[in-house]
Amino acid sequence: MNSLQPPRAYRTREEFAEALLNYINTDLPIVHPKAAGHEPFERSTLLFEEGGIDSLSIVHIVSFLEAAIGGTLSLQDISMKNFRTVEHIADLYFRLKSDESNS
Amino acid sequence: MNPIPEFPTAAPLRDGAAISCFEEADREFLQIGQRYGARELQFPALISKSLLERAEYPQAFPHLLMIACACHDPLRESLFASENLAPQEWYLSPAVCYHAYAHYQGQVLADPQIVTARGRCYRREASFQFGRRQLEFEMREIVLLGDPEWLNEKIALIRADIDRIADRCGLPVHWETAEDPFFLPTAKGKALMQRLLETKNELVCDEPEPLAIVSINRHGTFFADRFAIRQPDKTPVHTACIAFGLDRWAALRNSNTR
Repeated sequence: MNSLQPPRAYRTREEFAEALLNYINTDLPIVHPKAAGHEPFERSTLLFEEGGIDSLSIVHIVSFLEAAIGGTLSLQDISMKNFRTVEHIADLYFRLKSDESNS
Repeated sequence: MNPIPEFPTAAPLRDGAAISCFEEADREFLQIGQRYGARELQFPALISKSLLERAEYPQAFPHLLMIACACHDPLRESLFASENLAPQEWYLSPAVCYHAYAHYQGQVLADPQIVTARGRCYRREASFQFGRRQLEFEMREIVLLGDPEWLNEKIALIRADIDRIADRCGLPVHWETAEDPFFLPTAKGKALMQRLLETKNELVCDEPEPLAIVSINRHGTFFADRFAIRQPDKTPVHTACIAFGLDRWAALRNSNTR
């Protein structure tokens, strides 16, 4: 769905968080123009309450994350505690990558 | 004369004890609504095309819809050939609550409202099994219209009442976050949002096979926006509905009391 996919796997949680933040602020408004015109997001911006993330935006964000982990998210992963902010999504990314390397 | 064939039915045929079991299940849910002041309403099984379109149902669930048809030519030999079918302006209701939003269309609600209604609903599901997934089924719904805090308070109370009923019936159940079966891939975002915002919760009976028997659906201002239902300050009301699958409850209660 995304025309702009993350370029590679991220070495650290921080690197992923920065890439995702950049994606939301820069690329997302291109692939989904309705997401344009918002105040720049920070890593702690509440995506839904403050950022007004809509249903199509979340599809792009999930696609970004799935491309980064190289797989699909389970239903258990799709919960607000994992998607409240960019930081929370980065935590999920880190946990999934850790699980992958431990298995 | 040829033997009389076995005719299929779209819903179970009930008699005696089965009717009592079914009615008893419904009575408990009706009483939940009445406990919180719900006004009882009755709605028809047919629902206008324009109403469902206003609710954006055909876009979201075209695969479930069934439409009422007449015949262009009632004298034609192949009466029900597809080219002789003349769709009318009526669908078979896929749920009860859509009638309720239309009932309040254009109104300014001075106070929060609770209504309850029971109705026959129709969905073209991929497979059919009595007591689990039926072409025709009965649903009791409690529909709430008000501000978010009021909705949350009432939903918590009703949910506790439902838990007590399930417990008394000895049903092994749990609540889980769910999503509607949106048809188009473009609706993936809606399903994701439902799951993230936990706007749909289902009570699932784990045995004999997991089966949702109640759903609690929070719509935000989606329906109020489309049906112009407002609070006195002119902001749209929030709505929620609690749907009880009566056929499923009856089947489970029946099997549990055997």
